[in-house]
Amino acid sequence: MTDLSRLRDVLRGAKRSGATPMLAPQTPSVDLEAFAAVLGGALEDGPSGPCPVVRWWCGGDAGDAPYGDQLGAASSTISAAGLRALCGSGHEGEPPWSDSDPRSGLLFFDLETTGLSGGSGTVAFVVGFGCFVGSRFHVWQFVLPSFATERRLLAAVTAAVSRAHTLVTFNGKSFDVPFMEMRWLYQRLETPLPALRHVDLLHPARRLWGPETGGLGGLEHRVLGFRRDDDVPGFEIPARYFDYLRSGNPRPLRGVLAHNQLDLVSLGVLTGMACDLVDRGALATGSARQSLGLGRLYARGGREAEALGCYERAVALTSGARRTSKVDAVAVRAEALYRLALACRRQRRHSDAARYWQTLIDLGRRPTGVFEREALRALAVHHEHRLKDPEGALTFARRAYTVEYTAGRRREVQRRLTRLERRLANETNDASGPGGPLALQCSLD
Amino acid sequence: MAPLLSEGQRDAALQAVLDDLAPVGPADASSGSALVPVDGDLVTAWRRLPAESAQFADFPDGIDERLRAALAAGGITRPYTHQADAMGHVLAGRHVVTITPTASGKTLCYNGPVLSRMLQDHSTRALYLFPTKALAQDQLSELLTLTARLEEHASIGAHTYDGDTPQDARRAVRGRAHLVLTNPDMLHSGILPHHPRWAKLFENLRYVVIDELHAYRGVFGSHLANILRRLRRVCAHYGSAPVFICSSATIANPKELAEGLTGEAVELVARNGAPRGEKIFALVNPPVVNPQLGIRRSYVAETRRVATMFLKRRLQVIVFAQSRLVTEVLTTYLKDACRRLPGGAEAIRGYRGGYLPIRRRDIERGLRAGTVSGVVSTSALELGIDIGALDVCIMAGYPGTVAATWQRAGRAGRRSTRSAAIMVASSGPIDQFIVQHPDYFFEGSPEHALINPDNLQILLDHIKCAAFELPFAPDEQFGQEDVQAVLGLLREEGFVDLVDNSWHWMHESYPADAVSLRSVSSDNFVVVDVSDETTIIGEVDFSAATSTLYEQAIYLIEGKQYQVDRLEFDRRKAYVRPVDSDYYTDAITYTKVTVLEEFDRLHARRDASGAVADLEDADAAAGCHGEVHVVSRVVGFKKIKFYTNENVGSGELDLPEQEMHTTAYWLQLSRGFVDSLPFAGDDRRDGIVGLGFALRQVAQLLLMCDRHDIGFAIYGEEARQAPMRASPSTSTAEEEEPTIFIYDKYPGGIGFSEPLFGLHHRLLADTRALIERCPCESGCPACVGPVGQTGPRAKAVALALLLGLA
Repeated sequence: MTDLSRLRDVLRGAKRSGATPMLAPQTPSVDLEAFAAVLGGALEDGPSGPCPVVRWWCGGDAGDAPYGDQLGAASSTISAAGLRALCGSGHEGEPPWSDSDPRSGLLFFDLETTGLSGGSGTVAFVVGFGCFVGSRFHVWQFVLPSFATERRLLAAVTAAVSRAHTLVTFNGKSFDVPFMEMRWLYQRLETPLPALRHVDLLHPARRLWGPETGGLGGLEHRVLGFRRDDDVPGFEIPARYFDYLRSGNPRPLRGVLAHNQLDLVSLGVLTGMACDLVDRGALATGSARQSLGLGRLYARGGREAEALGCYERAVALTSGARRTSKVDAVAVRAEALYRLALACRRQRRHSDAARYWQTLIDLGRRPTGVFEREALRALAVHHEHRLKDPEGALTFARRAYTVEYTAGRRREVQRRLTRLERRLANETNDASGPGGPLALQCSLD
Repeated sequence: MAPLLSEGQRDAALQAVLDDLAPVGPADASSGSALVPVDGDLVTAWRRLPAESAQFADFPDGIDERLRAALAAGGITRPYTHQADAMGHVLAGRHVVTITPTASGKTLCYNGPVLSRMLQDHSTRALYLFPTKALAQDQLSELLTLTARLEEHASIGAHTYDGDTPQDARRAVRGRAHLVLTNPDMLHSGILPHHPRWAKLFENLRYVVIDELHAYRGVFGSHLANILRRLRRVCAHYGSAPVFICSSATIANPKELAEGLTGEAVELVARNGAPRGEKIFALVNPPVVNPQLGIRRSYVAETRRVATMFLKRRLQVIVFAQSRLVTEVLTTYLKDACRRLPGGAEAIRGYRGGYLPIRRRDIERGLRAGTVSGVVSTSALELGIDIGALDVCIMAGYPGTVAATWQRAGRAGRRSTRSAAIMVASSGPIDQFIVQHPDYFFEGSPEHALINPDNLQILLDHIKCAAFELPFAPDEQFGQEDVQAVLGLLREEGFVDLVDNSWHWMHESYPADAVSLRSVSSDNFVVVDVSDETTIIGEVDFSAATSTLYEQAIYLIEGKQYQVDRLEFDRRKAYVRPVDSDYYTDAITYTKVTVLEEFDRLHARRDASGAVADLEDADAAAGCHGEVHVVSRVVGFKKIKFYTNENVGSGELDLPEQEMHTTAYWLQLSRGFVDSLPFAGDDRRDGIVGLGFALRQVAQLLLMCDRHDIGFAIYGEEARQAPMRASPSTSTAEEEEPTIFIYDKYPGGIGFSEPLFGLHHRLLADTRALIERCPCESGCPACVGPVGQTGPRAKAVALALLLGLA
């Protein structure tokens, strides 16, 4: 919080003296050569002038720590079919990945920025790219030595992506890509990014490895079994750049570059692992969660039959899940049953669907609201119209009434209840005169 | 639903009620606006405002023929004089502000030149600013009708861009809209900080329309002035310099306000050419029911009585209340009163900020369609939301300013038929002053709308935002203050730095997020009904949350009662469930004010005779102004029974404090002087509280400000009309100098304290006149506060204090 009374004094002082004081010395112009050298890089010529670039690689025959064999494995498991599934639908035209060399044209992409908001007052000071070359993973990073040289950096980045057709990011759809587009717009330059295909690993990774894994750091720990030492925490990154701008000493940026390198390598390894799971299919995993996640990836990619197989496997793997089981297993089972039932309904396999709906509501613990509502609604319809079992339908409709909460849905259930009760009352009338159901009908009106 | 009345039936119904209301009917008032003397003191003023016929002019030459044809298709063949004048200025490239009373066709003043230019140059872009999202929605539908008629000539895209615009639609609006309708909040946090995405708009921005200009006063206006400084800065970056087209309700200084907001020289169009139907305007003072205590019949009950008279005749009525609470109470009363009328209780609706948009749209539609026969509203409906023209406007309490009173009265009245506006005075001093001096209202000038764009807090916030948007050059100006000095300070705090020879934003935060343009911040509390499935039933802004959503509070929404079960302050949520209660609750707030820095001081002498007194002891009191620290906290609440207003219980609360630095005027009484008065200690204390009560009211009248703009505290305890005697004593001990603070209710101050300090002597003299001339025996709500709340000797002591200070 700014001290207003001090500001008032400053302004009074400025008014008295009548002159605008020069409050800060001019920052000396940056020695680009020295800047690049301190960071372990070099000046490279770009379309609009020289730009500091830091190059680095890992992997190869030695199997560099900390990724070891995982890196080599990832390099060979990246596949065109896997990328298609991770990319999801929503793209027009032929997929650009070649079956023979799926890694060519693939750029892993990650930024380090002065803020997360993405408005015009935030810049990307490290634009990092990665790619697989043989069993090695190469990283090259464009580093911004001053605000004044941003156009150069952008031109160099444009040249770098011109040879690629696909970006792979972690949360790039929400952050990295719109952020960079803003920078091109700010400098009034053409942005090259919209022309590229984009695989954002964030959502596939959550599906395959669980939402609780958090960001890239969490996935590294949980999935790759690796914890970073001496890593620069994300919140500290903007401050390190501001420190550099104020002091002229680029040394603190070295840690930021290392952080960016690790992010890119992890992204590469995780992409390989995700492709591997997709390619091996339902039987690749013994985890119900992963089966369910795979199923959803297949479904998004239009591979309905494989999706169904994955859901069935997730259900089979959780067959022991009961009231007493871990919450996670029951939740996975419920969602797998829900998706299985929906898929069966789409294929008009109504009795299979009904079986899955029934299993879902018999889980013992009340499932998530939407699953329960959908199941009860579907079962009421099934019993009324297909099984011609008004009594069974009434049971489900009454339960449905207690869980529906929008007015429209309630009215819909109420109409069903009224209809079923009238039918049942007529039947009872024929047999034994007016009975109880009318009372219920009144109370519901 | 009952069938709507014909025009003739409506006029007859209106006449019948007016005949009942005024002991001497309006038929006897032969001349247009003569004051009709009336029996008793119920109706204190009765004016007939004559009908006025339309004044037409020709379209200015620059208005495109195709647009004229489209307007003619909508029934407009010639503009009113003020429309033609305004269009002429804009076409000539001059900034303009037009005074536009309700229903005077203000939209043509800006749509005319804007659409005309767009027909001639398809790259033209315009930005329309409305104070609320709802108004933008309203205007959009009108604009779309017009652009549809121009479709064969040019495709002109008009879109709203605000918090409700879906994410996936935003890109399309940025690229394609010729006309962007938005509000200051969105411009501030959603558009300007992302200006590169809006490059096409800013490169081609020819016009900026500011509708409802008068709404931008005080804090909100000071913010807007700075947002427009930022806007002009961004426009300059893209090489554009838009013309500002403003429209305003009647205020005293529209030109000055427009120039203060836009930073440009602005032409004024004040002559209005729109026609107007006849209007009867009456001021009503509820009768005195207890002369000893000076207590009048409740103005809320009187409003209920008057409104019911009109509603029974099936006239459409809008009632304006001064607070959310009174809005809800009156809604309850009128629903009760109309239960047996056609349409029933359902035809009466409440309306205020905090209702969800869908509920508000429903009420607005009902008003236009006639299915809603009565609406009780806060100032929320004062602005130009389209609710059609109603028959009668009733104001429960004086709206606080002359301008707002005319604005509200304008809600009733069609162009050709008669309408009525009635103000029912509360027992507050300002209301009583107005009803007893009708000329002050009818003949007086409306208020000045004041802004202070160089309020340091506000300026500082916007300089941060501006630096985020574009770096500052080392010789750049921004407003009046020395921006380089401000940037120097922001540099020390690590927000900006001088690199590459300009001031760059050097912080990871997004500065626009830290600035809220109005008390209705993004930090709203949501009200959750947990009785059935959890549903959100309303929102309450941060500043009001602690005084309305405390645990056990009765929360009213359209007269329906809910009780607060739990307030989760940190998560900004209040959980309520419906109850059936015969009382409502009112919060008790305590406020403590501490002086931080005194800017100036004026002494008041004790010795009225003029003899030279002992100087050491002579200063009975001092009037001062300067910077203060204000801490307020809700400490409890009262339960007040509906209809009888009995106090039927209370409770204690422990809620977080709210604090701010602001500016204040204060009257410091010397301990020696106060102790020298021949009264007991408790009575002296009551007298100071009573004096503060009266001073605050007079200050508001002298400053011509809104009652929300200033706060008042004594001894460091807030003397809200709430319990004064029963207040727990705070650390401010008897030995301290008793002080009455009147402070700006906004961090950093909004410019009231210094003028009030300049009026120090007038303030004391007018307060003394108010108390002396008040007919009550020992205090009433019109002078030192009601006897039940101040002490029995408060009036006498307050007068003695003022006499000593004269």
